[in-house]
Amino acid sequence: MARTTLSDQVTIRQAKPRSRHFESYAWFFMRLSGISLILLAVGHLVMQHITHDVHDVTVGWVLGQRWDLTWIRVWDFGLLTLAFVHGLNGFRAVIQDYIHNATALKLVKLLLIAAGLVILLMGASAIIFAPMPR
Amino acid sequence: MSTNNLGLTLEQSVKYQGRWGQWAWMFHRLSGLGILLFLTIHIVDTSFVYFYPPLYEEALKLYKSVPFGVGEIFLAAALLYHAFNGLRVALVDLRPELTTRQRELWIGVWALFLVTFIPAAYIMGRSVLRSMGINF
Repeated sequence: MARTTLSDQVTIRQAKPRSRHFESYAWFFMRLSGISLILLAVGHLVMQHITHDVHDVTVGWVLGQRWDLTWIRVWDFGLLTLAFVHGLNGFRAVIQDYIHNATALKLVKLLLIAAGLVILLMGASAIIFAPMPR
Repeated sequence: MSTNNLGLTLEQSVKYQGRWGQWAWMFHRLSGLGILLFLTIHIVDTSFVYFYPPLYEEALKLYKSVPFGVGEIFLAAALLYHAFNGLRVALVDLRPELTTRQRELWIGVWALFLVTFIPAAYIMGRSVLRSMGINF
């Protein structure tokens, strides 16, 4: 059986940047959102799991004790958008390493953007439109 | 040519022997993917608070189960590792002269991880045990 070498499998892609600065902005966004998320995501973990207990969560508690506070909604909105975009861009970096077919990669990226937008809109509309008590 | 991309990745990951730097990178990827998976599910279930509350109550039942409780402790581990290792990556990007101190920074990442994860795991684990009727 012939041995598979690394050079048989690795695709060398022609660099064809759509925007000259896109990857620089993406890199900068990952740093900026990452540092913000240390506060937002770790803070969320502390609020939900350390100072409060998941076993006590109900719909009434979310609406009456959490989303009745505007600053929590602002926090959740920041966490939602930054974490999800940070995660999807990280996922893009991962799939670029493993999908070597240009058409397949493009297709997966399009699917990722479409699914990401739907999920982001679902989360954002819940945070914005869920009724305030009183 | 039978080796697929995944097989090649796994094979080369073992062969590469990049030591701690490779482990740091691999843990960062795996924790990131794990967090993204949970985040995606969590955005959808939380949106049901607004779109269809009965379904959110169903999701809560799942979150309050023991396997999910244990999963949440792993999630906390992934989040804390990803946060502190990401801070190391950003710090070295910002101050390139720190490249020579990577080993110390890596030890710092694990120190921060242990200091934050151990108390978190204790509190979260205690709450899972309490839900099973084990009090201490």
